Amino acid sequence: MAERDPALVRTGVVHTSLPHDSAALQVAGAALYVDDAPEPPGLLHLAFGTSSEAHAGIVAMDLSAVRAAPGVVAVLTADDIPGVNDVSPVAGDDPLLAKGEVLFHGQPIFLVAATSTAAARRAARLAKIDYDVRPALLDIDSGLAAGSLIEASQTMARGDADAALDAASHRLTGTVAIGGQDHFYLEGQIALATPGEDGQIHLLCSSQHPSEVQHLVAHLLHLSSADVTVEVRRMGGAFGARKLKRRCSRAPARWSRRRPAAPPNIAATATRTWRSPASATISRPATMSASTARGGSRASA
Amino acid sequence: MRFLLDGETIAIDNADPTGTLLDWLRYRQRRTGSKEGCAEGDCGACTVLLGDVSGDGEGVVWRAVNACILFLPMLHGRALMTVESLAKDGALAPVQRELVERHGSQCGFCTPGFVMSLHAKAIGAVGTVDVLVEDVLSGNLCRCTGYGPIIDAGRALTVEPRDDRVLAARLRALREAPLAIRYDDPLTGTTRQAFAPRTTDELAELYIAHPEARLVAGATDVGLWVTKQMRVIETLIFLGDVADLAGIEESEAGVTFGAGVRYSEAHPALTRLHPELGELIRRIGGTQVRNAGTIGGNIANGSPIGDTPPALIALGATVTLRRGGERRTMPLEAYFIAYGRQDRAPGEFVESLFVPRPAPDAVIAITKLSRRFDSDITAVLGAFALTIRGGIVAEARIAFGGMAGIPARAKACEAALIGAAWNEATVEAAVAALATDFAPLTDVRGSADYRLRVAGNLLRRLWVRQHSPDEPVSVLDPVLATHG
Repeated sequence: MAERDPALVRTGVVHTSLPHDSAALQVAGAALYVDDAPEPPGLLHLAFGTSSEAHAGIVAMDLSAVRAAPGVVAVLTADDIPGVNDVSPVAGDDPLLAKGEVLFHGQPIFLVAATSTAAARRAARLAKIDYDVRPALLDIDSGLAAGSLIEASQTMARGDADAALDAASHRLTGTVAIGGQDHFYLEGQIALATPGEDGQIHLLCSSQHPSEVQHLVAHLLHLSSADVTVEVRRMGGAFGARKLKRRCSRAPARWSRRRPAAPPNIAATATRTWRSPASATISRPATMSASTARGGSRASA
Repeated sequence: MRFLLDGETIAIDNADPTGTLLDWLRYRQRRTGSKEGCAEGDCGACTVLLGDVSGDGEGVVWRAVNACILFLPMLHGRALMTVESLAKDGALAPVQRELVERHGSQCGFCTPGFVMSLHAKAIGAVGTVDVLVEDVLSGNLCRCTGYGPIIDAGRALTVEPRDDRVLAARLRALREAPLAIRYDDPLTGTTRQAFAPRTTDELAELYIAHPEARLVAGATDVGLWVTKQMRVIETLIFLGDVADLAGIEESEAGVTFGAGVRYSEAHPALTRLHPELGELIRRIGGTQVRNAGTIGGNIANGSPIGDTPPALIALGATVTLRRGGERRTMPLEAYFIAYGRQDRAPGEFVESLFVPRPAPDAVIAITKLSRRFDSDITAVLGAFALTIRGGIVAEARIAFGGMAGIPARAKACEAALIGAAWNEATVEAAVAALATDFAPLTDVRGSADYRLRVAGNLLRRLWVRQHSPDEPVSVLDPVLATHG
């Protein structure tokens, strides 16, 4: 590369330790993240109403107190989504808002839009939801016992491993178990959606996979991908958790939770619905309970 | 309410008494350098510096605090510095230059908080003098594996106290009548009121008039009631301006702490009482929490896992409560009656705490067990104060946190020790007696079995330490700093 670009040779880039190009802005507090953008006039602030149960059928939902709460502009449920209620990248099994059944504690069920984040979060607590509580699978053993797998089993094989093991002079057995972990990126999940011309949406969001967000939002809102512009300036940490990277699960288990695309999707949904700018700033507890985490794993030999 | 931001007077009319400084900075002032990472005083991304006029009136005493759980009235009459305050005419401050040159930022979201915590060290702020950089940064989280370069940047800094004579004069001029706020909150349809008395007498009078008020010292607990639980607190009395609640008096007999003494201010005196107390303070929250939370608050809120009560109970501390002009003093353990219930009448408040000086031959061990070393909530905290004479345990005071609904003495364990020979059999009998003393809960911080087992192991550890001083019983090097 250095041969092709004399500038790099001249400035001594190669084998030189250079400061990170945002470093001076970051240490001055001048590097801009999504929540640092000035609020557009009329901005709606969004919050999820979430499941209090790990696994349950939703028998009835009374959201009248949520709608009547101070500052609330509107409330959205799965029925209000104009396109496909799914934010999974591949498997088509991860609704943005749960309908009929919740599969993990903290799963988003409805969306509140209000004049402030505090008003939205406060109102979201006022829902009355009747659950038909079902058995929850909270660890690997109970998932295996119930035959509830995250995805179809896959086999990778080369040669005759069983025969080779049978012929081996030593055979070791053991198990490695790793607990679940949250990525704990310092900036919570967040997105800011603004309406453009002719039903278009602009999204400022903190995502590692803007093109996937674009496609999911388009499907969700029944738009063309060309109608959705996704802008990512920088992220406050990600570690893979801001990228949709795994297929999603029907397993009603908290350890299989994931939902990284939620903030851009909910912000876009709200903007599409009300033609207002909308911002989804997800609190730390909701970020940890409703979005991607690494489930526990166990390997035995 | 008024305060100084970069030396300029800021007046806020109609301040929400439970509005946070972070929201005000970010959404009212558009000073978005301070970040919200957790909104509960844990990650330090919102770290700012607060300044008070120094004792001699000529300077400003600065301390790093978390803006996310700092209520606006707590700024009244103080000086504020944020990450935007540091660069002058486009030139970065030394701490900023060090962080850039040493690659101390990656995603950058935690960076403004680290800048402010290290800047606090660079100007000799409270809780940073003669303290390891690692401890200065105990309340700042980074997730991009940047601690090494950040710590290097901190070590490279030279301490240069500011010349704050002009600022101190402005702060003195800012001192007005004690704060009293009424705020109509359209969101909850409530009217909130807040007071900030200047003397203990005023506080006593106010609290009689408003026994329903919530007393707020550092807001390291109450702040989360608002940011996380969305609780509405209608009447607040802020204690940060009550000057005669913040005294420390050391004598031969012991040390008296006013209830408003912050952990970081109490740290040196507690370390002089006993190094184990100093180590305990080092384990409470992070620097920003220790710069806000108070000894009195840790007692008054009655938490079963407050860190200082078990230690203070083991050392035989007494607490003085005041209601109006009346005072009463009781052993600290008597204050805690049951979970959520304390021996405190309406309008009565914790005024001071007396900690007797341990005898030179006292055997004292205090250990906090939590998943993280810094900034974590206790699973079990054990505090032991033994007197061993002629191979016999003459006296034993043992208290635990996290083992019951209150911080509590382990009476059966003590009884198994007192009068017995100090040997392994006695220790094992005393460990077994803990099962009589406590039936701990299982929760996210530990199971009942874990708690009972480690409580016993803490006594075993004390025995090993006494019996075989050369055996290592801790992988941690105590940092007794230079407070001694």
